[in-house]
Amino acid sequence: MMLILMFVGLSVALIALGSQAYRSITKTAEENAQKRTSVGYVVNRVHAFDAKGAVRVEEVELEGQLTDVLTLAEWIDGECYETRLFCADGSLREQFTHAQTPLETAYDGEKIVELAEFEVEIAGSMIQVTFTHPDGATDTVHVALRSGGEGQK
Amino acid sequence: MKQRFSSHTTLIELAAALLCFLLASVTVLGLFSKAYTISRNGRLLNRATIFAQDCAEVVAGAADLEEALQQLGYEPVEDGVWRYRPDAELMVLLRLNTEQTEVGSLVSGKISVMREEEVLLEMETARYNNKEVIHS
Repeated sequence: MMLILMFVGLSVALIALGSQAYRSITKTAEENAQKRTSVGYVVNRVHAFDAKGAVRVEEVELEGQLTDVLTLAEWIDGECYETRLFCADGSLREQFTHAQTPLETAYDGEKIVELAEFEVEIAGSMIQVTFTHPDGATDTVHVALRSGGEGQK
Repeated sequence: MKQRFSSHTTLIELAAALLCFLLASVTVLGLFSKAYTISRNGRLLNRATIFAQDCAEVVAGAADLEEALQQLGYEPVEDGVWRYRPDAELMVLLRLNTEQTEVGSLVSGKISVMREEEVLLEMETARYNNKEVIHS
C-alpha cells in the first residue's frame, strides 16, 4: 500500500514539474513568434511600399492618446490609398483605406499581433521603429528607405 | 523462514520500483531539459535575427555609416571591423569591405551574431556610397 502511495505521490510531482516546464517552453515559443511577426511584418511592409514620398509618420489622437501611425501610400487607378500601421488596444493594427478617410478609432484597423507600444521615428532615409512587446521586452529596428526618397514626419 | 523470505521479497520489490521510477524521472527530466535548450536557442536565434537585420538595414541606408554605427553603440575594433554588445548574452560583429565598382563605391559587410565563441547567425549586406548613380 505504501509503495503505491509513494508511486502516486512521486508521479504527481513529476507530472506537475513536467507541465510547468511545458508551459514555460510553449510560452517562450509563442513570445518568440509574436516578436518575430511584429518586427518582420513592419519591416517587410515598409520595403514593399518603399517609394519616393510614400512612407511617412503621423501622430494621431486615438482614444485620447497620441499614437504613432506609420503611413504607407500607394496609387491605384489614379486614387491615393493608404496602409496605416499603428498600435491600439494592446495590438499592432493595420488599416487600408482611401487617403481621405481619417483614422478615428482603434478598431478601424485589423489586428495583426499583440503589442504594447509602437514608436516610429524618421530621420532622412532611415526609419527607426521601437516595439514594446506584451512581456515588456523592447526591440528597436531600423529600416532603410532604398528608394532614394526620404520619409516624411 | 517463510516470513523472512516474504520480507526480503517486499524489500526487493520496493527497491526495484524505486529504481524504475528514478530511471523514468531522469528520462522525463532529460527530455524536458532538451526541450528547454531548444526553446532557449530559438529565443537566442530570434534575437540574433533581429540584430542582424537591423545591422544590415543600417549598413544599407545610413547616410553616414560610421556615425550611425557609433550612435547605435557599435565600437570600432580594427580597420573595417565593428563590434556591438547589446548585452552579456549576444555580440554582433560587422566586417566591412570597400571596393570601387562601375556604379561607385560598394561597401559590403558580413554580419555575425555570436554567443561567446559560437556563431549563431551570419548575414551579408551591401551599400553603394554613390546613390545618385544607382537611381539615375
